[in-house]
Amino acid sequence: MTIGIPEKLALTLFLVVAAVTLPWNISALLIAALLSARTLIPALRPLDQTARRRFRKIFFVLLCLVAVMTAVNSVFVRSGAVWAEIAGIRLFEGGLLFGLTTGFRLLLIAAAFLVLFGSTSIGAFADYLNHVGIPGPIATTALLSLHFLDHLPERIQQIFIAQESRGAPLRGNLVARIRSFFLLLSPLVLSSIVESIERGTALELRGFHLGISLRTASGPGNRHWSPTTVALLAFSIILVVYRLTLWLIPSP
Amino acid sequence: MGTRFTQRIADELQGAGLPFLAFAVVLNLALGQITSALKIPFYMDMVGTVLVAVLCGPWSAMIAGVLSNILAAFVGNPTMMFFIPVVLAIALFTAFLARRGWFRRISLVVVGGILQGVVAAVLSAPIAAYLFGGVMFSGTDFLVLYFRSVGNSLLESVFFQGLASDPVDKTVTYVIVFLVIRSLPVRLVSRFNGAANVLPRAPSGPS
Repeated sequence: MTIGIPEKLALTLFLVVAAVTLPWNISALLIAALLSARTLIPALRPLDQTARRRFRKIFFVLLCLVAVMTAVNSVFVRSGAVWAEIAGIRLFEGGLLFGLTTGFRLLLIAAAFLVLFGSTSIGAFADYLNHVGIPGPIATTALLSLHFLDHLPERIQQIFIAQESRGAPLRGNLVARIRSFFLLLSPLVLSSIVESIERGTALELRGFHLGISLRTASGPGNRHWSPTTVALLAFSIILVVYRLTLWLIPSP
Repeated sequence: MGTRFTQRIADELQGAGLPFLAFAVVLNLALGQITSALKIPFYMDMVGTVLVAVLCGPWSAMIAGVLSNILAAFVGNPTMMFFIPVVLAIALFTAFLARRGWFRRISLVVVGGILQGVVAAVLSAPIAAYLFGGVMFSGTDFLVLYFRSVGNSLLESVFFQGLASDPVDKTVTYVIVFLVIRSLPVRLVSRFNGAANVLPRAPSGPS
């Protein structure tokens, strides 16, 4: 069984649908299954050490947030029986269930996206988008965005240092910091507009805008779906139908 | 896609439009980074989209908004994917206001920002409430919790939280975009398809 980008997208969709439609304990099981699959299946492994570190960091932070939100909700959302009492603080079952449901829902969605993007190179993803018929200019915009995503933090840091060395109060009180926000934003926007014009001119000189048709360069592409993709999409549809049925036909 | 539709997008993306669109997508993400570095209590995650809506047009702004939310999911906030309908509405509403010249006067910009905030709160409340139970892993979660603890329903709590934060955030966003565009040289602004939305109207000659 080969796992390509279509299978990964179908898996992500299935996990997102499952997170929204199924109870928290099944979400927890799916998270455990996804983490195991990430170790066992080569196609789902992180591409490099940076992706691995990013996954660990974000997942750990989200796990802590789930714990905090569950605890806070079980204290403040006072519905259901008292589940426990710690140092005079009562924890309510309703709040606990609410915190666990929303927390694990977000955690599963986050894990699904982290596995998808962590195991797929951006170039391969952009190629796939172009292959399935996403218009060329939109794919180009996505690629340019990824280029800026790499370089913009560095530029922000340079502007930050430059403005600070000119005496801008970047670490003062709130009003001073809001004022300094404009000192950072204006050069950032101005330089980016100038760069956009330069890049736009370069694209025009290469004939990019001539007869711009917003059609993909590689045609409609191969729309054949593997059995894995079909099965995951079918499970997603079944879950949505099941949930809608429960919602529309209330239990007696 | 229909020919007229594709032609409209093509018109908006002419010249500097396409690279600027890409920059705006990342600006949406980067401003979150700046506001957290400066510890400013606003989201500012729509500045790029609003800039594109004013300077390029509605279709480019919708593309910028959708790409921003997809990239935000990529860099660690997957809940943003579900707010794509809200982003589309914001892009359309802003472009509509810009076409009517609301970005020429600061008073109209402020009113537009407040209206935009209410629209955003109304549209995002059902998504945040029904899909995520009002928990978005952000500081405003505690505001939702407060409204719930004083007896409001979940949907009401999320809506009140949105009304408390969105109009302020969107007004600040609109004012920032207005000030940024005002600070740009006319020759740069005139390179964009939507330059007529912000540049002063030429005085009509004697008839």
